[in-house]
Amino acid sequence: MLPYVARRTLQGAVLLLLVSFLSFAVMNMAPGNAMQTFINPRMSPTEIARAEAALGLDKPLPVQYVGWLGSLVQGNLGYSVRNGQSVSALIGQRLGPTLLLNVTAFVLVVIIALVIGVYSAARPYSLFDYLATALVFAGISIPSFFFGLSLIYIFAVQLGWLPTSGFESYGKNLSGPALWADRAAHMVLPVAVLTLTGIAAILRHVRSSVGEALRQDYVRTARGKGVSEMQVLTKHALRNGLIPVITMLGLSLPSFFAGSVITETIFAWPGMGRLLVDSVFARDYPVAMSINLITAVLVVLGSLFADLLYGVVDPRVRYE
Amino acid sequence: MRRHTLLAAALTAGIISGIAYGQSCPKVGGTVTLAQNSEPGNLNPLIFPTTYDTNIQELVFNALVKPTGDLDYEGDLADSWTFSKDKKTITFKLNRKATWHDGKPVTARDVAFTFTSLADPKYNGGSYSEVQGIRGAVAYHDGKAKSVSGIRVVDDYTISITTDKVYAPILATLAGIRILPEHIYGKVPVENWQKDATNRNPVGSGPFVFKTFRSGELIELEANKNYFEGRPCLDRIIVRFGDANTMLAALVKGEVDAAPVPVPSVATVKSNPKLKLTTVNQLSFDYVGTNLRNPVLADPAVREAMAYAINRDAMVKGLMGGYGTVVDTVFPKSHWAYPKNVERIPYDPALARKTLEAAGWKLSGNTRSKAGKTLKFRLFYTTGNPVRERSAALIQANLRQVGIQVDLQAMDFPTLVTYLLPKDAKGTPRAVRASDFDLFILGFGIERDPSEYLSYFVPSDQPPNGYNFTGYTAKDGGDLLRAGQETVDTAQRRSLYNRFGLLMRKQLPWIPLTQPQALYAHQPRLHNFAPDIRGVNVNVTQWWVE
Repeated sequence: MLPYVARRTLQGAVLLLLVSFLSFAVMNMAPGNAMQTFINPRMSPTEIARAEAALGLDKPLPVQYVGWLGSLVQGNLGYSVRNGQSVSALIGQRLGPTLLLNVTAFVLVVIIALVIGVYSAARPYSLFDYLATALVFAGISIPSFFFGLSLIYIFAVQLGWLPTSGFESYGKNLSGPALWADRAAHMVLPVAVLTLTGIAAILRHVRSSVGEALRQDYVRTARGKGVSEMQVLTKHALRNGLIPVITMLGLSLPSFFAGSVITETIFAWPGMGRLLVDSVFARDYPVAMSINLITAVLVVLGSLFADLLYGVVDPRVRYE
Repeated sequence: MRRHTLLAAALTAGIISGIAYGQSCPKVGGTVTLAQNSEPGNLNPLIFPTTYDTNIQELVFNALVKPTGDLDYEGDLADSWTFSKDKKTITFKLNRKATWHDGKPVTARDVAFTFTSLADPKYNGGSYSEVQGIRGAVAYHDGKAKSVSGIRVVDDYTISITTDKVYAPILATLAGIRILPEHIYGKVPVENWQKDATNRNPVGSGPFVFKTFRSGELIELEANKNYFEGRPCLDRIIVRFGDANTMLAALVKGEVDAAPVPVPSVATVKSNPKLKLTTVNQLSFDYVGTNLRNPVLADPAVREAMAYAINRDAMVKGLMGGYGTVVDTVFPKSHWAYPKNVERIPYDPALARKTLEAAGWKLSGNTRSKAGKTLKFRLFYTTGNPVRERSAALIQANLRQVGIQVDLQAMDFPTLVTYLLPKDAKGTPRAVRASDFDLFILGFGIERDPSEYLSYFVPSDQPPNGYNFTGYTAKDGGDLLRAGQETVDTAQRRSLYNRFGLLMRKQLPWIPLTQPQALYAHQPRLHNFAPDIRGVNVNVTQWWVE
């Protein structure tokens, strides 16, 4: 087991280096840089050039990359070009709200997808199953910006039940339980969007994978031996049927960190997704690069985690 | 209790600023929440200020002078000023009541510190050219002098600024430089300003005191109760950042008191009896820039024909919902330099065709050509502004009707800049070539004084030396602008810039399009909300809430 983990870690490190190089290259291939967004009549091109030089933007790309990598190794993610703040501080401010939103949505997605998926698998082509399939299609096909804006319009503007946007009610100076209740109210709509759009993929997987397991010989044997349907489902089918789902869940780990771009933008949620978009548009590469890299680290960790969990759930899978 | 506070506030107010204050502040206290579509980058006004930054900075900081509604200048930190006989030295007397938010007095040394910092060899915040005209600034900047000789602290409350030559836009320039406290910013090396905590925790002298900046969420400001012009009526301002549609929803719901309105949402606001819509003239307009290095575009007939063929009225009516106006030269109509007698550019496709025919551009198929050259251009435009994006499509259709083929190329602003201010393979800025671009749509915001145009219309200011993207080299335009910069008399300046405006209408290096209005909606509980050409917060100290 240990040599396996070590080997995977080494592979991961090489992969990350490659990812960082590629994302650096791709971002810098986009024409223009952060300084050029500041151009105005009272700022001469020479001054723009001076500012570029002060930030090292005038150096050849390989030099810029090695410099970036060098400070990264020392644990320094650099400074935002747009506002001069250290990238780690900036990420620190945005991570909390993103985790709150995405973990909540994730827990809901898993619970709902498991319950509906398993039930659908146990009763394929029933009315319930058709309804669940319809839900999946709705989740996949409604764009989250449209869904989000519709929810704001109905529940916040028309009915007035919930706040439209933001992390909390600003200017009210709430604290303690009142503040958390207020935040919870602000979370309802964005969590609803993330949950509905996120359920689709996992629900489909659970249904097909558990359904597959239910058609296996050992399940038939178990049934033949008179094991109750409930036991067939929980003891035999679920255990095998959920293995592929674990991989999917492991791979969704990065979205906890990277946030959801569209949902966060629509609900003015101060999270990582919005930070990433803003930094890409502002050509604020130190910020965008750092978010990309941390996301890549999480992808690597997430898949390692999923593989290890595989071994726990299914002892037939052995790692050497 | 509450009555006591009110009474005390009213009394203090009365003492500070007399009766006028009492009239403009029927009620003191309360919080206003404003919406802004993007968050500021940093709050040091001397580091690459963008509009989003400036909207906040102007609440926290003051300049020496500030613009009036008709773009003259009145005192801000300065009580009064006098020009020397040779018009090269201007001496300011500072308001002795002005204090920094930490209670220390604002002195002439703070002003000198601010201007000197801009000329510092290590300063890299983009505003050096603002002070370049001050005597000795270049020498100091180049490390050849220990101080800027043209900046002289006379006493604690008097400072004089001397320019190398007569520089008419001096007040306009100084209005754009917000003064920083030396005892705070002087402790941070100027090259570190952008990264320093002070840029997210500013200390100024303005009507509002900075409290918090929560990234992605809001900025919170509190009334400066000791403000030298009298305390603001409000207690607190919260500026939220969010997508335009979301912020409009928050406004309708009452979570936000005022928000900018995108043109497509005007109908929503108008149909809501609870919201008030304010339209504001702006000092900006859109134009089509031409690459005059391209011999085809250098033909005046081609530019004229394009101007006649573009239906700018349709842009205003159809794309801008009527919230704007057509411009016929390079000045917005709300600017004092706008020549009232300028001849309208007609929308007249027939005249466009006639002009092209007369100049020898013959139609074959869908495209006109002459001596082997065809009227086929690329039009670059920036994304993110729906009106401009649709204008580009309209221009393409309009020009096709008269036999000019246009390929549209959409890009974001930084990308467009790489065509207008090109670099060679090594990354060194180089001169623009005829092949770099043909036509582009950009907006121009004339912020304070028409002398800003120098960089756009003087032959020597072509990239990489300036912003003369089009490659305008006719001598007469630059001469008028130079004369304008060196003429102090207001009437003479107006006449010079009027002539420049008429010349641009004739030569058309820029084909002027439209001047948009800014739209804001606000809740009726917010009173005295009256943005104008100077910005959204111009009379912020008089806002009050029920």
